[in-house]
Amino acid sequence: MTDPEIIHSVLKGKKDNFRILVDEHHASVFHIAMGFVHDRDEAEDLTQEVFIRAWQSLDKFRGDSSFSTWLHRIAVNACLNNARKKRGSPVISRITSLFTSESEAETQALSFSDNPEEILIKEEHSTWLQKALDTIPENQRTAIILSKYDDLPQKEIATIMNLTEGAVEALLQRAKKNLREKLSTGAKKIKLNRRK
Amino acid sequence: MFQRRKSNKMDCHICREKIDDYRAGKLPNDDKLSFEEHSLTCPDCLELLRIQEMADRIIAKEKKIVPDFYLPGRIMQKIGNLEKEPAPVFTRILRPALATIAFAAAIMAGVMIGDFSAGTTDKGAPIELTLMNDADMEMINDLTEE
Repeated sequence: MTDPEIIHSVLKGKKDNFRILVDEHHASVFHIAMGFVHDRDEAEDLTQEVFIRAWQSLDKFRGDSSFSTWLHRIAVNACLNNARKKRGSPVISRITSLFTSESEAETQALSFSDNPEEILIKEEHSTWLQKALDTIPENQRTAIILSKYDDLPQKEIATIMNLTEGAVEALLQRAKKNLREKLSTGAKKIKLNRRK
Repeated sequence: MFQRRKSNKMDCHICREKIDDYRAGKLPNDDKLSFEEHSLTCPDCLELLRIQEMADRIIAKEKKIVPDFYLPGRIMQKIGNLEKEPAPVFTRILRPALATIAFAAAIMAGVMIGDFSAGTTDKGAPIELTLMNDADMEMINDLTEE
């Protein structure tokens, strides 16, 4: 049974068939959510939310794209909304940032020793990467998460993000460069702070 | 293409540009050797390479995390509960009530507007005349005698 056939049967009343779609796609949605939140429980909650949204708007699925693309779009939107909610109102975060210097914020995010590798291995946390990912623009973050966490090809990412393949390639290049710079700057600042 | 030189800004710049290709194994042998040579002599580029490797390791580690085995079951249960749950108060009571009130208000407004317009165009008879009993004033035999 193909995805459109399953959807058709669900809409005709065989609601239990939705389970087939959940079984098939939940891991992929979960990995995208992990890329955004880096926490298993939270990623599971987001996965649940994504499937509930899909269920509620299944009758709006027109079949222009594949079900997985449609589902991935819902997942990306849910994850971005979740991140925006966490970040809070832009006004409040701007006011907060006035009282927190950049270096202080970096130090809070990264508890570093001289060798960044050691810390990452020791702490076994992805806070460092998460903070760096959170600071790059949303579209770059989305592209890199879809590419790295869900191993999606550029063509699929382009369909999900409503962009051309070329635009996605450029976006990924910029995202990688940006991320590398953020990670590197963070590491340098922490090293300097520790030397002081 | 790489040029064999001592670490300098240009080399660092090229090195950073080529870091993804190097890691993906896409660099030709000559470039690969130059890249490695530069990375070994330039602490900044070496650190950048290590940072990139670390980030990828974290991603790989996170990718290994799998969702709970019962997650699909939980999702289906939640969906089942949604189906059973009564609609929220707004949908169940307030929305029909608001629709009814709006409908009634529209009718009332229509009646009032109609009434106002009638008041302005129909001048009608004076109130004294409307209160008069015409039957008392005119005898029926007056009409029959004629």
